[in-house]
Amino acid sequence: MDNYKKLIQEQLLRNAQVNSRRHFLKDCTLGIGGLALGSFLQSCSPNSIPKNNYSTVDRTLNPLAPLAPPFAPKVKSVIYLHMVGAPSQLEMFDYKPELQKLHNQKCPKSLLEGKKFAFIRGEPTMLGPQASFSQAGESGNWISEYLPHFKKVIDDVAFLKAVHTDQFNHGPAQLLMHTGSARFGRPSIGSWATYGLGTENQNLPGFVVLSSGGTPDAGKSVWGNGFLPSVYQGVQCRSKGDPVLYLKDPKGVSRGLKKDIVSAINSINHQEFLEYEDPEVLSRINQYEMAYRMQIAVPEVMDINSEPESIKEMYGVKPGEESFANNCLLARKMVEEGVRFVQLYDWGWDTHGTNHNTSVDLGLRNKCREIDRPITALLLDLKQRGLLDETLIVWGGEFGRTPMQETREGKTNKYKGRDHHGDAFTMWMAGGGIKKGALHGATDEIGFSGVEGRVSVHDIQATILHLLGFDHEQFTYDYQGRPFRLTDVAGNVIQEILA
Amino acid sequence: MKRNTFSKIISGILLILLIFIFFGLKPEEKVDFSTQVKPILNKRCISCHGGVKKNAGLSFLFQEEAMSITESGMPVILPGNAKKSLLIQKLHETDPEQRMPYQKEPLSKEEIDILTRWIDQGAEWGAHWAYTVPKKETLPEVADEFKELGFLRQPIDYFVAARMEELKLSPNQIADKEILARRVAFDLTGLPPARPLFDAFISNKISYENLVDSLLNSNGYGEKWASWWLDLARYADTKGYEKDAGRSIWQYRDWVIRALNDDMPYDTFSVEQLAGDLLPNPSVDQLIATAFHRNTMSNDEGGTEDEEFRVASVIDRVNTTFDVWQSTTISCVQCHSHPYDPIKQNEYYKLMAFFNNSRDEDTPDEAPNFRIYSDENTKRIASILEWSAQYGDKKTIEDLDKFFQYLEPKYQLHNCKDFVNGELSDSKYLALRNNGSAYLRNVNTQGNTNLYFYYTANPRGTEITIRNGSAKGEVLAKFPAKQSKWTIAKVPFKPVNETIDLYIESKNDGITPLRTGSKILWFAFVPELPGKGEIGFNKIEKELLELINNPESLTPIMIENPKHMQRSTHVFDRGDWTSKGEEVAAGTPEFLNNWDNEWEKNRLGLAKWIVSEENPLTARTLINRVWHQLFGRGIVSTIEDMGTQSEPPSHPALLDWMAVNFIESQDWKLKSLMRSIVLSGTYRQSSKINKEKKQIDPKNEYYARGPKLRLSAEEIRDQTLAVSGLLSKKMHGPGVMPPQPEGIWGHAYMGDLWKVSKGEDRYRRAVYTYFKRTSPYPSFMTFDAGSREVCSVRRLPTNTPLQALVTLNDPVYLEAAMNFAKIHLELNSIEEAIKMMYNKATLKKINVQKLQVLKDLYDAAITEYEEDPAALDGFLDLKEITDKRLAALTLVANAIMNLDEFLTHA
Amino acid sequence: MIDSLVTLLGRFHPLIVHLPIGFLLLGLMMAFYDRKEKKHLGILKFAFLWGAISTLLAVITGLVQYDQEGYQWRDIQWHLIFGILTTGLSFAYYFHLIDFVFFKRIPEKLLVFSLLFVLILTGHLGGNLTHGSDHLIEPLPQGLKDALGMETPAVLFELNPDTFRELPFYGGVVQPILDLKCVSCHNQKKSKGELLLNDYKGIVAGGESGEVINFEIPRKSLIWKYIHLPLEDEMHMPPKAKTQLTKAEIKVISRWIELGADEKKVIKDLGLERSVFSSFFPKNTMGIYPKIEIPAANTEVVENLKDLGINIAPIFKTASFLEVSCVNMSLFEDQFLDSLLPIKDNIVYLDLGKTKITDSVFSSLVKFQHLTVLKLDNTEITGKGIGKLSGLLHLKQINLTNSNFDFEILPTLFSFPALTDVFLFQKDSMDYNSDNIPQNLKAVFEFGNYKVDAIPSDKIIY
Repeated sequence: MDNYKKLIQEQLLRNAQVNSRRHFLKDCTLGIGGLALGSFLQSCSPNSIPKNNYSTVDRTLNPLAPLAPPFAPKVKSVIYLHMVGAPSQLEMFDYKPELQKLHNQKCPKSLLEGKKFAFIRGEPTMLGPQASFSQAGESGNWISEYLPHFKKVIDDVAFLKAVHTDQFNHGPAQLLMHTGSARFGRPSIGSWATYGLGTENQNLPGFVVLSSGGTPDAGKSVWGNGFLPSVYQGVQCRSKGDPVLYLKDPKGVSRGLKKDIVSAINSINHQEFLEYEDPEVLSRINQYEMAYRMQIAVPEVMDINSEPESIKEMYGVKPGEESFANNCLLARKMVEEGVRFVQLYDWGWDTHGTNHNTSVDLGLRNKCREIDRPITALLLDLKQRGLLDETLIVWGGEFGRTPMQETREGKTNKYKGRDHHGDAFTMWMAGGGIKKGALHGATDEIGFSGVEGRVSVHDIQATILHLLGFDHEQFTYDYQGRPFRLTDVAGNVIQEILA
Repeated sequence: MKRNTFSKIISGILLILLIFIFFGLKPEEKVDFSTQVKPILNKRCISCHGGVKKNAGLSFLFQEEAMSITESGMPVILPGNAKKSLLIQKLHETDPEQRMPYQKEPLSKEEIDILTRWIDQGAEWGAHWAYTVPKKETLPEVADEFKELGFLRQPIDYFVAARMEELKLSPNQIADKEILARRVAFDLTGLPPARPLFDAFISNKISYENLVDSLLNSNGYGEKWASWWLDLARYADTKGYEKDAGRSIWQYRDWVIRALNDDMPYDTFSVEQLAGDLLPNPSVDQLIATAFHRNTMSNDEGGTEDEEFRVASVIDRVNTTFDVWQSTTISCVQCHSHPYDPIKQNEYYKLMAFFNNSRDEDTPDEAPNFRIYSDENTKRIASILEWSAQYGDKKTIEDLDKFFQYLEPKYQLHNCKDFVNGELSDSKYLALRNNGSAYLRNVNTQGNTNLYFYYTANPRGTEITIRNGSAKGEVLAKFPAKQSKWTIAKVPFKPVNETIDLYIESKNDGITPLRTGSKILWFAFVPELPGKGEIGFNKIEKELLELINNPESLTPIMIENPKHMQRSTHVFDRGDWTSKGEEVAAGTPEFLNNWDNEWEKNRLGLAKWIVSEENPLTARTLINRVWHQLFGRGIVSTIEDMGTQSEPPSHPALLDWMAVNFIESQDWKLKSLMRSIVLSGTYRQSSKINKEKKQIDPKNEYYARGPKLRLSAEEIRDQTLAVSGLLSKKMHGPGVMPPQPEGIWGHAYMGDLWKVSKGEDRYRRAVYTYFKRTSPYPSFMTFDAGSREVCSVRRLPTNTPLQALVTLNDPVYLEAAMNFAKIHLELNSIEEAIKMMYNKATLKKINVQKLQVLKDLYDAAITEYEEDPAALDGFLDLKEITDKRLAALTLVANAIMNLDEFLTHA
Repeated sequence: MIDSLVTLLGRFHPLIVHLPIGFLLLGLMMAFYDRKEKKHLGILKFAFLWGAISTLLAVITGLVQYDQEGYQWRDIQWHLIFGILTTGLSFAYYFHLIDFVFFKRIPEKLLVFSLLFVLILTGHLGGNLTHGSDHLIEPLPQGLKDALGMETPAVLFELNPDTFRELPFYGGVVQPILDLKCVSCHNQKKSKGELLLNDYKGIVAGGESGEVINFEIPRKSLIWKYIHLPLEDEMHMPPKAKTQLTKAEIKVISRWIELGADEKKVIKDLGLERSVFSSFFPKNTMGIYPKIEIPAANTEVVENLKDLGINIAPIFKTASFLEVSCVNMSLFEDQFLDSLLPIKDNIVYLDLGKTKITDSVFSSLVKFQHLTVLKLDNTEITGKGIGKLSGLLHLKQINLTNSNFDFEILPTLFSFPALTDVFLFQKDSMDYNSDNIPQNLKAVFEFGNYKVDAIPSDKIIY
């Protein structure tokens, strides 16, 4: 029994401080709760303190404390796979036999008036799909030969064939997809999720970003916190060097010494607190302890080599390099450890056909190979660990590509390539709350515009929030005198793909 | 008996009557529109009956709309007769379908009562408090208790004391000298006080006033307050958007620092930035000041439409002007009239007309740029102009001088249309192939005889012909575009005096049909240099061309369109720039001060309108923002918005008094304003929090205690370098690059360009750090700095583990800690060193427990390094040979530089 | 000034109105008491004189208040009429008492009872005006309200996800939507465009612009057209200012019309896919958790456990069931489970993954009766004694990934009442021959061990 006492004693000692801090705050939370809250949520004047009355005490001490959503959630965490540059749906998921027949013919005038393209001017010719398609799984959904492995998991996935957006430049389109507005200054989906739900694992960031091949065109704002406090900003984890900036202890400072430094700082700060009774000091003591714990937890979760050979083989990981495969394995490890929102970016899908890498028949096929096996492995790995039903996986780009061959400055590009096209493209979702093998929406015979089941970018965001347990129209934050929403003034939950 | 009961009844009735009359005569309490009625309308009605939605044709936004006939056929408000007004009846309705507010819970009894009395009293419409010109308030009398405490040092204190009295609060006593000195030093200069100055103040050799004055006169003042202004100006060293290429605009940053240090009055400071180029023969500085509005982002991404992003910059300029000078969220009005403030949609576009006629057109070279030549070249150009002045009239010389300064006016060729064998390469340059042609429509060459153009051409060169009107038009110029990299060339041009279309043709048989012969960015038509035909003219002309081709540095500035290149401004239907509505002329919104007809109808006029004493918002906004920087909270806490939906001011009389005082007696001087605040008793209070005050005033709205704030991102870096003796006091110059982890800048197009600056530039103040919009300096971002894509009025302070990691492990802070320890290692004892270091860092004497804690840390480190000396080599990767004593003391220094006392000012 | 005096007078109505109630009731009681001996006529006369005067005063102040305070005529008309009637009757009774002219011939019983009835009715209506008509009914228990035929407002129209197919499409789904969004303007009392939408007959009958349902070409039906018009079009229904139909509601009404707008047909026979109705399923479903009401856990205990570092949060804000996770407490041991016992009934989700628990934990886990999801992944659990958990009626998911689970024990799980998923993937697991798992339980056990082996095309660089 004494072992039990010793252990619980040590545990209680470590948390006694938290205890005293929490009680100190709680018994006078009314008194200085406002102060603590005020100074912490500086911009929130009383009437805009988040209406969903999160327990202010926990939030003051630790802004990422886990909280319950307003409605019954279907998932606990989200993995969002964004293909930067807009993958060509006509070579991957949207099978268009008619387009094959029109290959190399002049593009009908009707498709061009009133439309704005990034590069196409004059009359381009049609470009048939470069890949052959086949049906797979019981659902019989179409899949191209560029994604051979994906056949194994096609029945776990729900397709959205007619997603549309009104932006046709990379930067604004990525901002719209991830922050609900094409202009700068709005919080990203991950920030809204951690602001609303906090995160389970207190030794890891709540919103993690992993990128491969380059950073998105809109820069850090696609995982920015906008007008929310900066603690909800995405934390970019790098597979080369320090996973989180300045994480590693400097050379010559052992773990033990770092612990002495942090406890020295906190004991002096505690004296400072007794003199000034400013709750911000308490909060800072808490953050230094969390920083110390993060220094162990983050490298552990980011260490791919600790995984067994069979798993590494399954994903096709390349240790020590920055690759999409590594990031998929890391995403599963993060979700398994209780991180709320993992955002992956893979750069290099902008297949205009200006050179070999951006050609739709060659470059695109290499890119598909880079993601095919890791995504299949990710879905199967989550399923075998019982995590698939608690996690939502979203795959997509910021818009689609045109059925016509791209012409630039009046000249047809050297390689086969497609221009940006926002009217109709494909995205898919899988995991908790998603109907397996569903297919929603369809495009016309040549894949130019959506004819049925059209779904907007805000509908996708509304569905993600719905599965996390929010009503996207009630989940607001007050700023500049009015409540703001992720889905701005639009968005309907896509019922057709919900289980 | 009967008579006497009768008299009793009569006297009873008389008494009752008397009471009635007394109550009848007592004036009913006047209902005030803006503090009682407007908040109810804003909260409960305006979302369906306002600027955005006008259900049943009714809006409570403007007086005439509220009183006008609605779809129900009659007005809802009948002044003087609440009973018959439809508004009041609708509030009493029981049927949920009829009752207002529709499908929400009904108004409370008091709210209905206020509205009823308001209508009965004639339904007078009042203006919002912020839209009436501030009046000079008299100083309120306050209890002598405040006087005895020595609290009343500045007029400000009287207003603060009066409000405190209302809540029976008493001020804290004055803060200790060390705390106060450190607080005021950071608030004024962003640095801890220099040691000699601090010691003089502590030993009472100099008074608090002298301390404040010397801080205000130090260069640090300009550098600290520049960071605040550059947030508002959305200053950055790159263009933003996807490419985010570099931009040389650092001259503007230096102008802001110099202007603040010279204590330029705020009205001149504003006018020069908004319309310096329109002042009568503007100086170099006044031109560079206009770069304020050239901080807007420009998009060079291939395939983007330049006009769309020019319009986006103009819209950003309107929004930023009103965010910075009027704290009014005018950006809402782009698409519909303002949801709660009385601003109509077309008033937004009247404001836009002021900004819609500037020469910049989102071109890759960011023209117009102010060209600064080397001193020697500047002298050469001046002497050439002097020489040619003998032969030409004054105006031509002036036009030429201006042209050599910023190469305007010119025609950007991205406006070319109808290409044959040619196109806009990368949607930027006119690129013509063999037998290629294009039209540049409605060009007015003002009869000038010289065509300057900026071009590049490949090996075989191309023959360019420009004709008047069409392919068969009269040849105006014919010249070979010889092979060269991007350069400005000059050719003669046939004078034409009316607006014509230019037909540009290019012929180059030597290249394959698909090869581009030449790329041209712009044409400029310039008068002949006087003195043609004189001896040596050709040599001079060639030298002049060579001089203007290599300026030393460029700074984008604002230049107004000449008469013949004016643009018209239209209302955008629902804010969409592609669907233009009715045309509008430049004008200012009605709800603010009216226009004085002497003012010019351009940006200069707008600037004068903003800084005129009639404008109710300019002074209040500036006071509120400075107060927010010093106290951590504005008098109007929502500092980004002073409209009807904003928080009411906690001290309205104080705000108005300071606004009027700032204009009249401090004549717009920022230093005097700051001096009057930091000398006040309110500011000097200690920031200790005690229990009773916490209950009454948790948010310190009544300033019953001094401000305790976390230092800004810039101050944290500067203090660390200053305390450890590494800070370089060098000022001005292009952005510097202190160390940052690699891979931050890995951008697809441009690779990693972050070259760590050598020597002194590695330890410069944070305001000089190179600022790239898509990946700003990481430790600033962690400490809540904005990314400056848009004007950011407020930095939201947070408290996160990532901040701890920066100050614990960032090499910049480790290097400082090492240096800080090294300079104290030689003292006779470690305790002595720790005492010294603690005092230097926090300017406070260390107490026994804290000394013990740090000494224990030191000993623990010593024992560890004795057991494992190997840990010492390559200590902290700083390439310094460190013995165990230096290493241990460095860890102590690192701990001191992470204390709450160090990262905040009490 | 006079105007405010008059309003002041009006304001006295609620005060004065209590006088007649007092005087007349007392008078009637005394009249009843004195019905035989008739000894106290004088007192009765005095009582009914002042009763009548006070009723008259009440009526006057009532009229003034109606005029001043902007009340609607149709709300107060009955109260006013009966008030005047009470005054008339009380004067009549007074005159009867003083044998005034013909009043004495009216039979006393008639006067007494009619006066009593009118007085009570006026009082009741007055009470409704001031305190709302449901003032007395509202506190009644729900059962009584239904008995009284009080239709409780359709709080939020919801369909039961399991039984909705049996409902008639019109009666079960379409009409409730119309009730929520259209009937408020299209009912007997107020039928805009003379169109009644509150029942099938009204819908088929149509309104002033003819039929609204076109059986030959469903898409031509006015209802179908108006609900699809853009919001700006003034024929768009429901009107712009009212609450709009959601996308799902528009789809339901359109499909109903397109399938012949039948009154009786059941959803099952119309072959409608589930997604048409899914947005009407209750949002706050318990999902896989037990559908039982239990008292919320004691917050003090929850706070103390949180201080220990255990994550505790309700499964959603208003639920009393709790999710408990020890993700931040890798030191967690079997004995610690005892500290969770005070809230054992509330715990439905318990994540002990990656902690120091051993097989002895099963003996205390049995006490958590509502436990539905149990995660024991990445622990030393071998499964010995797991059979004890067969008593848990709600246990649906057990996660034993990467534990030391001994597959021999697997059969003990076959008898578990509610198991839907058991995750048994082991790092270096051997293949377990799954043929001795009963056919119906095959889907429950997830052995994982999936392979995504490289295929030749993975090597080709295009």
